[in-house]
Amino acid sequence: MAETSPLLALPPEVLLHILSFLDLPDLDCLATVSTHLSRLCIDPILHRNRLRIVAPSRVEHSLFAQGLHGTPLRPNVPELVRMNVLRGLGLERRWRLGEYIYSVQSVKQFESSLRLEHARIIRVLSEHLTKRIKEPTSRAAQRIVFPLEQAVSPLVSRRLLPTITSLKWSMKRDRLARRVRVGPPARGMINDADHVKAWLVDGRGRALVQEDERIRLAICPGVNKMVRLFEGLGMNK
Amino acid sequence: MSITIVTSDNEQFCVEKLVAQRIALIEDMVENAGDRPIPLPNVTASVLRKILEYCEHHKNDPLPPYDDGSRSRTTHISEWDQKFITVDQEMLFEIILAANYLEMKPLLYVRLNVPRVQCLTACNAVAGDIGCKTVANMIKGKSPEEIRKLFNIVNNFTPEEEAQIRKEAEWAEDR
Repeated sequence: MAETSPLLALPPEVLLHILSFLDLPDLDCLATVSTHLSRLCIDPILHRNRLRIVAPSRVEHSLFAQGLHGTPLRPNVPELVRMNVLRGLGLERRWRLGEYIYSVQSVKQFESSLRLEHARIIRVLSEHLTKRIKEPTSRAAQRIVFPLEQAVSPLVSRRLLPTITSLKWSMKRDRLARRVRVGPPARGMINDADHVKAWLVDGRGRALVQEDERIRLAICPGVNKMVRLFEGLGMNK
Repeated sequence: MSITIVTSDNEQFCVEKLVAQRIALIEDMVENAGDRPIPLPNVTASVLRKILEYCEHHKNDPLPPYDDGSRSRTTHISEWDQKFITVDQEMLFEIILAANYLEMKPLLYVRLNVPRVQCLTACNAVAGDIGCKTVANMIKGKSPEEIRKLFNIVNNFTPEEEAQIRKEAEWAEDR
């Protein structure tokens, strides 16, 4: 079988020499041609040679190679500008001044990117910290041993903090007052639908509704005034 | 001063010493042979004529220095060499084989305990090098099927192995 192909008839060291001129895609292709070639293509020495010697010299060639008259093959910035590959406002003037990379603008850009990164880290850290605090200390937070969770959250503006504190305080007061008024509910009573209905109807459950109203007023206190204003306008007509 | 070489099909060549110096094997044999003709039982006349043509053209070039493999591995071939190597496939492989035979440097390095990596790259038999480059150029950018067709290679993978290869190649496919 090997005799029919002149390529496979070559001694393996010559074949390896041929393979050393090829790069990975071609080697990958050759490896699927026949078993003999696939064994040669994964030769460790071939690849060691490729990585240690061939690849660096290729990089050097592409970076510093010189053409026939000693001109470098790799284009520099002026040539790229001339070839219209690098574009930008006043780019030509800037590279002539030597300001293409180390310009004031690029320094500013770098600084602002640092600032953005800083802000991002703060946000991520605070998010994680609130998540971490919530679990073990929820009871402590209720007793205001720890600051309010809204005070730590980045989602709530600092200006709303006094409102939230007073709102929480009044909710707490209402809860206590209701407990005093109603007394401890009997065990199993809540589960019974008829009893819940009666509890709501006879006025003792109204505290729930009132609390809702109170929250609404705390959030937007001007609503009653607005309602009254519009009602007044209607009356005048 | 000239040297006589006899090929496998009994043809005699008279070669200048300067030209013969290009061929490491002959250079080694000249010292032992004296005035007698040098036999080359593995090389036919047509191939030797071709190799001598190459040596004749390059006889005034400096001898290639010991190659540590750091030269750039581009497959660029100069214009004259390109014309020289445009032969049919059979001839091409015969030139590679003959050049590999005539250039005994790799063996020398083995004796000096040079690691095999360097032997591999030092195996730049003058004519063989452009021959290998030409073969590499022929392989470059072709699909496995095209390569099989080009070099008359029979696909000797079993169906299971073929399926395995296809499975391994899947991740590299363009999506």
